[in-house]
Amino acid sequence: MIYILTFTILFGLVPFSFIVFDKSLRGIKKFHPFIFVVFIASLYEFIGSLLLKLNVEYWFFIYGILVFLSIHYFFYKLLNEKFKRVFIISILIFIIFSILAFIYRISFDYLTISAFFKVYQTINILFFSILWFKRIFEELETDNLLENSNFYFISGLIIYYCGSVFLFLLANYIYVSDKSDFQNYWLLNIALNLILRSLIIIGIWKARLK
Amino acid sequence: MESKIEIISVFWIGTFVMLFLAFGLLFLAVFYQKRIANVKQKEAELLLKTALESEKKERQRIAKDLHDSVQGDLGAVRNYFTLLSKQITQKETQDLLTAIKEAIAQTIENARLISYNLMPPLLESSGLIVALREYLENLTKSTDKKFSLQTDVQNLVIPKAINYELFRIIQEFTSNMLKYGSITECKLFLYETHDLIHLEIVDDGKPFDFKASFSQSKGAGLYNIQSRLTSIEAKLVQRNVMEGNHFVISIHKKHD
Repeated sequence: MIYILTFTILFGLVPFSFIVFDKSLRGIKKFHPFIFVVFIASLYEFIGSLLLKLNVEYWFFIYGILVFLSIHYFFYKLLNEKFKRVFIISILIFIIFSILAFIYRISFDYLTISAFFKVYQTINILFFSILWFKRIFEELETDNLLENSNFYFISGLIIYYCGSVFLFLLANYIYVSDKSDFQNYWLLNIALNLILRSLIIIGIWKARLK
Repeated sequence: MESKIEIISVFWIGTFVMLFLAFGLLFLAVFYQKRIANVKQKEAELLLKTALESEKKERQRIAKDLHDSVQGDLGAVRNYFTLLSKQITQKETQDLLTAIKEAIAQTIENARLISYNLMPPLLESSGLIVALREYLENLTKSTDKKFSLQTDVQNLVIPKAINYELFRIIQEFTSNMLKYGSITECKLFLYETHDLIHLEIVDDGKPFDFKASFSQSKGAGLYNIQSRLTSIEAKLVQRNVMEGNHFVISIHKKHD
């Protein structure tokens, strides 16, 4: 378990190293913030959580906000800065919930707060992805989706968030009912993270080939 | 215990349903996009074929007009001048009329050449090989370059539309050679294999990379060649040679 976890965490450093060393990847600039967040998360989880055994509660909270904003930035740029009002409303709702979650953080544990972030994020990702697919079908400019780097980023996000949403929703209950068994369920999150990071790398690779 | 089983059941069912939806959405997107891309490609091909067909018809019309109308009228004018020259005895005027008749004869010849280049009559009546031979002979005569066709194919059975496009492709290649290639000789080889017809074009001019030049959009000639190749579903391969250029055009014998 610890090896798989370490591998997955360190795997998150790969996409960032690509964009640092390869200057030709400016075409996927809109995805850079998310890659940077994944990089920071990998570093923190490896050094802070695994090695130094630091408390992850605040990290989960900050990470949730950073991921939300970076994904919104990606979709906002991907959809050519259209649907501005939808993005503003979505961010406002998120900010209100985040403030409430921070105020009542003592009443709710970090798993419950993470569950909120995940559910809200999943809805947003599905909504903006469908908007992007709709645009692709209307504009008819893409000859093959499998050659489009954005498709891999979106696929990674959809698979990760859809696959892990129930895990985060029920994490608290699973944890309470059987603490020892919890890490077995957490393997799903690790596996989905591996898929997400692999798809990001494929996406970057496709952008390099262009 | 019961509650734990319930939680686990909800977790697995929910996760599988969500993953099923996620993969379903992605699969649908790829599938639908491919279908749309196929339709788009077919539309583009149809548009190209229609454009080439219209161009062919227009060439035929202009060639016919030049032959029947302009050449005929010029011939009549020349005859009038011949009649007129018989009635005039003044030497200076006679010389002038002779010069006019020569100019008209030259114009008739030019009109004939333009008409021929627009639509070689032999292509319709005798097929590609005969038309190509005549075209290359004319080129050899009109330039100081040597053009030849070598083939042992007796009866080339391909649709007229393909004949026409192949002829135009060769015309485009030879024009390019004369304009930019600095060639001294060009040889064409036509042969058949099991289900393919191959046309090799070998010249000793300046080497150029067809694909690279085409992707850099250098000249309408290359675009013309590529469009015609696409419309007849032919394949163009450029072979690596030490000197000059070597192209092979391959086309299926059976066409829909």
